[in-house]
Amino acid sequence: MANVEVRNVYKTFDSVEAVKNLSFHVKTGEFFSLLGTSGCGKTTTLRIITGLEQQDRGEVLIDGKEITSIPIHKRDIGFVFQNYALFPHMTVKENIEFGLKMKKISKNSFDSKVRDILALVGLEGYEDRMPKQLSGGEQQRVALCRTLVLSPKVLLLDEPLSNLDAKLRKKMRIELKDIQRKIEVTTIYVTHDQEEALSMSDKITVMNRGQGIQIGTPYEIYEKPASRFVADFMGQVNLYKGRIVQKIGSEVTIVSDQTPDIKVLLTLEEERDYTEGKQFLFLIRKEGIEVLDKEIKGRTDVDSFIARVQAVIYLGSHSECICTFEGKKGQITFRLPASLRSLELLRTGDKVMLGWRPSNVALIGKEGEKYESES
Amino acid sequence: MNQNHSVVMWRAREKFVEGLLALPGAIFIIFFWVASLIILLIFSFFKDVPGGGFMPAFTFENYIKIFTDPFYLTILCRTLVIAIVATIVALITSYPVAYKLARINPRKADFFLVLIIIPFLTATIFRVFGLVYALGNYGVVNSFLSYIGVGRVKLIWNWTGVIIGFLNTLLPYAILSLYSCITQIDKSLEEAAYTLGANKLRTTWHVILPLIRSGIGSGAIFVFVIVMGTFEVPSLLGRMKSGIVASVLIQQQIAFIHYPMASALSFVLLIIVAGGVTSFMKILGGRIKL
Repeated sequence: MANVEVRNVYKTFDSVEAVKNLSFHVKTGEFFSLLGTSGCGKTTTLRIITGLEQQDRGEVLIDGKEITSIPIHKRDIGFVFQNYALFPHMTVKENIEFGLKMKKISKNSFDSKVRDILALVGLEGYEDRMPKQLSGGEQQRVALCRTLVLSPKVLLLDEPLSNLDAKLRKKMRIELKDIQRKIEVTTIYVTHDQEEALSMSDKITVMNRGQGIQIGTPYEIYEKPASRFVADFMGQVNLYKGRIVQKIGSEVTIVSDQTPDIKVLLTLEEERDYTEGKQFLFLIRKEGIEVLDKEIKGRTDVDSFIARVQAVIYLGSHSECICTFEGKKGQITFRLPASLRSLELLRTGDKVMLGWRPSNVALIGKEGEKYESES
Repeated sequence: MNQNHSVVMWRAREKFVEGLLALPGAIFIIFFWVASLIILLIFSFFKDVPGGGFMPAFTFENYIKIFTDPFYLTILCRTLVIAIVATIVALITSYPVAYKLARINPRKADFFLVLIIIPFLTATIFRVFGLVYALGNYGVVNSFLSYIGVGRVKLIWNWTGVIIGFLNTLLPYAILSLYSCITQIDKSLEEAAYTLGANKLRTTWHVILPLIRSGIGSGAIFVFVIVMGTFEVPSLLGRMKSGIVASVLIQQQIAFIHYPMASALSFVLLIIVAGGVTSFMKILGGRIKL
């Protein structure tokens, strides 16, 4: 058990800045994710913590101790590789025993240790199989066993689920999180899959171009993205630039620049420099948009406007509808409510009245300048 | 049915064309290798005429002589020992080079590989002659050694010279065959070993070497075969007494015109090489490839 601190780490490869002034702190026993697109520096960060790469500047501390000068094989950090990196010439048992042998642990304990760790991941009796006889998910679990049997201080996982098929990935997500909770190991998880990060993590750092863009709980990252990049990455599609047109107490009305039809009313959580005329980026969650009946037109607690259906996209578990505005730029996407699931009810060209509750609107960035950090 | 028939015809024709194209190469091999081997085998049963020349016969005399005469027995043993030692030394010295080449930027590696291959463009005999001048008592190396105060060392016309000479000839083969194997090993396997607590040496021993066993096997076969057949090195860099089968062969054939004896020796050498190759394949699971 240990806590990990990364302080102002920089790493450059052939003039490409892979990691740029990255800092974060992982508490003991926490499940911490580094989330970002490929090439954003998340794997490099993980490799720096393990010792497979050396940072140009900055510090990595485990339990408050700088570890940069400790060679990899003495760091006690578990690393699960994206391709699992099981030794192809060794059986499952030999793979798991490898680390124990290197640590010169008494051989008498090997059998029971291997048995226990295989039981933990549900692979009892797999000792004598060769890696190539295992499915992707099984290899994944053996790779995890091989690392966990050494009781590492920190467990690092580099996109461990990305080579699995979609169904297995979802199952392994739960299993992995379960194992992590059982052994309470401090874990840093690298992924490009936002759903994975949201469902497993205690905390997430969203990375872009080597920098940490936002650190927070899954709820904070999804509900209150700090920049357009984060909002976009978390799957928000209804992003608009807007301006405060009215401010009464803590209630402000913001109108989209491009599409004046989109007018949102929201209650500010904190009193800040929100003056009339100031520009903001805001989002409307697609799962919070409702198709309104005509009768409730004119209700003031709900913003509403008329749009034209451009396409209805059937996605199996739900459908999405993309609408445009008469004579104006911009579009809005929303998830169709169950009552409108039938494809017949909404067709391209139909006019609909849309509305949402203020809780489904979020201002991106507390300050105007955050608005500039577009991807 | 009709269509089926035309498919069968088409397949048959394709096979015929494939066979036709293989014919020139096959004829070449049969004529120049198989046929000459048979002639060699026949010759090995002929009788040598003292003072040069031979006469047709069917006698095992030459073979009996090879396995009973201490002169030939020593040469056989010496050949085997040299071949094994040279093979081991070549593999051990080339491994670090091959590893480094496999792990640096591929473009840089290509450059160094070309440097390694270029010497092949000159005949072995020239390179070995070059070594005589480099390693001789007043050669470049010894001049340097005496200049820095180490003093002159005998590097030629002894076993050291033979081993240096063989290394010079063999290292490229050994490096290339190990290199091609190491590049196949995913770097993450090594990295995984490090994170599991293994240092470089133990990673090499427990992970890399077992995975390139077949590469070591094929490298060993190459090197072994080449040592067995290279007469230039022991002839030019060894003592007169340190001949191996290949150099004695040349002697028998060119200097003494003892064709039947030379043929018998060739066959014994061939069988030893075949035996060596088979046992390398057995031990290391290697297959002939480069």
